[in-house]
Amino acid sequence: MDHPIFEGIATLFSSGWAVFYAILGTTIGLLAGATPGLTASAAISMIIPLSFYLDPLSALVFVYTIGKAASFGGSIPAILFNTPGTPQASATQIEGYPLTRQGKQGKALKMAVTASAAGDFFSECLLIFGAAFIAIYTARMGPPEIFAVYCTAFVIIGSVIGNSIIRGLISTMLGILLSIIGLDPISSMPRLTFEVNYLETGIGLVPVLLGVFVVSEIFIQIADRGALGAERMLSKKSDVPEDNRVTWRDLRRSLPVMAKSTGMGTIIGMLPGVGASAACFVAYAEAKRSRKPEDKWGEGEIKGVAAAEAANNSVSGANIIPLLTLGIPGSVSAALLGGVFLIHGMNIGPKIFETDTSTIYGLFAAGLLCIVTYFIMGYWGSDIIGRIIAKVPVRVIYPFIFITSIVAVYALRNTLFDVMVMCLFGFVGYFFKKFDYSLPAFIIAFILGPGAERALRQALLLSEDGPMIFLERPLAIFFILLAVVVISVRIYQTIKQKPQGAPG
Amino acid sequence: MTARRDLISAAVMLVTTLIFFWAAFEIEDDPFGVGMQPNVFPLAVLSILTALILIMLAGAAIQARHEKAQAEKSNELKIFFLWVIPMAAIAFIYLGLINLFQYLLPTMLALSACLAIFGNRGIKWLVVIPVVAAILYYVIFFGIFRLLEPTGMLLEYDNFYLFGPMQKFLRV
Repeated sequence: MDHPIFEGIATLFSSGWAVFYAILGTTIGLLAGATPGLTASAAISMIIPLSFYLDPLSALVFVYTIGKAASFGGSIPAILFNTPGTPQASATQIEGYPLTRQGKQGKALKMAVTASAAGDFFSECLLIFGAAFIAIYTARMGPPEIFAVYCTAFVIIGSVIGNSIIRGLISTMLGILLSIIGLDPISSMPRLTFEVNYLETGIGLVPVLLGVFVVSEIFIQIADRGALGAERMLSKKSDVPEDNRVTWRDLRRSLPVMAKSTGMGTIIGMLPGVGASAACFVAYAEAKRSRKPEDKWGEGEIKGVAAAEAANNSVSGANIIPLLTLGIPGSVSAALLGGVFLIHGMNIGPKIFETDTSTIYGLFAAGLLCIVTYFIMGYWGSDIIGRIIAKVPVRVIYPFIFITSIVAVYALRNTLFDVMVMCLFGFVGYFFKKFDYSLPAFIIAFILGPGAERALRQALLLSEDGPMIFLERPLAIFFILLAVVVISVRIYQTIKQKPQGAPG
Repeated sequence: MTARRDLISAAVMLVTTLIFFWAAFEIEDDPFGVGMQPNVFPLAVLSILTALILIMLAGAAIQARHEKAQAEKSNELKIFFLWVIPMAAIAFIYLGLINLFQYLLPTMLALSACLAIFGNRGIKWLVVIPVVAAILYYVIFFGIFRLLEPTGMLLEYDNFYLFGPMQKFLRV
């Protein structure tokens, strides 16, 4: 009974505000996830300026719970309106919407929230009981190994996220490049500042986040004039009680699929950059592959909803593991959480389990509270959320988001410059989306860039043979080889899939 | 994604990279520094980036030769200038107005303009809701979160008398 999670639970519940922000974050996450076009990343980006005013635990809890709840929230419009609220809900839509058309939306939503909570709970337990164990080993790594891990993460993030390897890698390198603008961390020489004084402190994380995730989405929505007035209609519910709840038979049939999908989602979640979107499709495909004769895949198979939801939610706890043990986020939400750690002066990495034990385990306890909260809200309230989403059209939501973003970014330093940066990155995000570059890769690299440079410089200071130090450490060699293998496999897959001469 | 679009985006990226290269060569050496000089990491990143862009450019150029010339009647540029640029302009005009009239009035106007651009029409959407929402924003940001309101150059007022008792009551 002396596990630090108990200390975490005590820390969380001794602060009324942290509990309040956990519940508020869950509610916002559910609504944001359920609103098509408003991603968890956008919601978190808007909340980050607010987190400056909160104590570290409340700020972390707020951001963490939004990301977790949004992952389930995305399934609500996917099931009700055939429009996934988040990219990771795309697989849920395949079997979820046909169930709605049969009047079984109640069953689909309840199965979605049950599978989400089950997957998320397993993943959170792994985080609680496994992360510190992994951290014991990663804490022994020196700068050369850490730099090799960064390089591997950049290669994986760049080549795996998105449709094109080359555009993914370009996005990653651009992220690193923009992250090093400002004063050199050792010599304080200005670098790439173009003699603009404001740039000497670097490009702020919040204006960049708001620009690429929020403003760019607003630009996309305003450019997509046809979708602005689109109305969403709720289908009529079936009068049969069994169609509006998860029966024991449904649960018994879905349990093996849920367990397998949770395992897959957890493993995928621990890999940097791969994320929930990949997990849900892998799990869905595997569940469909092991079909039984009585299954109705493609026509509203409840096991498909369970597989996709268990997988995409089991990513959310697992992708915090690389963030806390290596300082490398597994997803954009984890990267944003990493940003909040930095804002509050906490250094992410394996040492955090020793230096900030109560905060870290308080955060994990908030994760458990979030799962319980969204399960209750989702099981009994998904219909209400669906009705709210159906009533509020996109053309009303975005103007408010835009004005809120401007005020939020202006409030940081009371300067117009940050608003300019936000708008500039809004255009960057807009073009990235239009030209199919990878925004997640860009933003993760932007956050990790300075850490990578620091590790490289420390490694070279330790070395007597210059860059040869990376070939003298077995673990560093392992990670470099891993990067080579990953990119080789991706290139091989791309060549096999694409016609000759196609770029990327 | 057509090769033509790849060519355009790669060309824009290349120009951007060249500008950064020029800036990277301007980075001064640290005469007393040990280890890596300040410009090494940026130059390394830029070199890899340039190599990747050139690979993409070459791939797109090869594909463009095989691709039949398509008459793309894209109106993306028109949409961009007609809707996206005005939306961004609202942000700057809004902030300019904040510096002149403080927060409340410009927020009402900016919200109304944004709602109009997004296709909302009528007194309810363009007048009532912006006014109510701006007041709510004002109370939340400046009353509860106690943000510092910029001083207006043409219209100046102090919100302490508005929010002081409320802040005392809420203990914020």
